[in-house]
Amino acid sequence: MSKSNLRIVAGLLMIPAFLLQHNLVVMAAQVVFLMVLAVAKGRRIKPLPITIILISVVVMNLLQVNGKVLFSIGTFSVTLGALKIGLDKALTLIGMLYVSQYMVSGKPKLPGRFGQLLSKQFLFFEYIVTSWKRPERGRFIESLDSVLETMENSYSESEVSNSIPVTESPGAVQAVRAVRTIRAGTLEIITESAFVLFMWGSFIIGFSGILPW
Amino acid sequence: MLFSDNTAGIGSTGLKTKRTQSIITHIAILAAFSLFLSTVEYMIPKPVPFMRIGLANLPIIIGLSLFSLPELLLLTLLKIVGQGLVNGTLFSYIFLFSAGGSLASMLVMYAVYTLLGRFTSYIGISIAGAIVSNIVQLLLAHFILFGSSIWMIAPPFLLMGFITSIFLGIFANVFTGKSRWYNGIIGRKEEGRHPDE
Repeated sequence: MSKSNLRIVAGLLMIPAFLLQHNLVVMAAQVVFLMVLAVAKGRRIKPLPITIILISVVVMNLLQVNGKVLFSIGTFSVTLGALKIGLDKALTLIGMLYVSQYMVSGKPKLPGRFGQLLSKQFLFFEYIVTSWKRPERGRFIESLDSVLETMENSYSESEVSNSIPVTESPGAVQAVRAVRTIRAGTLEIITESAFVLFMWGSFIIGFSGILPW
Repeated sequence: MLFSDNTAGIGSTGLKTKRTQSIITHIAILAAFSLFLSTVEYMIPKPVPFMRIGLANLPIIIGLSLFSLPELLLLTLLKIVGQGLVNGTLFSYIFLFSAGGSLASMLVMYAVYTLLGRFTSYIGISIAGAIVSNIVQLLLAHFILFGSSIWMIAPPFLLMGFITSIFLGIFANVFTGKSRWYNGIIGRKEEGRHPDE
């Protein structure tokens, strides 16, 4: 199995253990674990959007009164049920975001013709990024146009369909290397299996009811 | 089959095969262009983190005059999946929002372009697409995340989408007017349709 596919499979096995979990303490622990996993695989954490998602989802759900009143701010009552639902939804959203980051960190290559077309899209993307130069003021369209024209002229159709760029720009070569299949080693299979086991182990702990919330 | 690829590999229809390959290349170029614009948008400072200009939709607006509906669908799918892979959101709820908004706006923009194209500029088309995209995203947010409270932020959200779509439409008008690359494709497309002219 390729390295990228291994992460996809591991992620798919983790998702039910996360989505079926409703103990908020365990969910929070799982989210932290998924964040660490994504960072360990080279993805970045952006604290501000995550904080905004957490706060906005919780606050919006608090507007719908549900269950025991915890405290009131003026006429607005903060209820336990609404708080739990809000936290559940926010943690689910953030957790899924990071499991997704982890799953795509191996640069998966999608199968079939759509996958080939996607590879072609990334080759062109690399080309645009590497050949793009900061445009002069008011000449953004001309600069963009020049890149698009050069790109179309540089790639002969037959070569592009074989995912081999005519140009030898470093970005394009890098992109070709990136789509080559790298097989997963035994150690990687064991490590990814341990990650899946952690998720299911925490699911069992949450399901057993020994933790509050 | 998403694009007219049934002509590929048939000896007697070499011209069609060439045209199909050319269309596929243009779809891949515009999909890459979309990824590039979403990177540019990421670098533009925004007053509110979730505010989006929607620059990545520009290739779809441009594609309206270049592609058929299945080809536009393919371009939209490439945009959605490409962004999902680059941003790492492919298997998250965010992907659902992106897919829902992009597909709905593409279908509406195509309908407006096809039915009212003669009376509408890219600005009108862009506004229609943005409004539908935002409504679909609000509906998804209602059912998945926020519940009915989401409608409290709907007016500023829709207003923001309306304003940014005007700028996007203006940019599309200017780009299609000025771009040699775009006008070259249009020219070749016209020649392909009317080889005797």
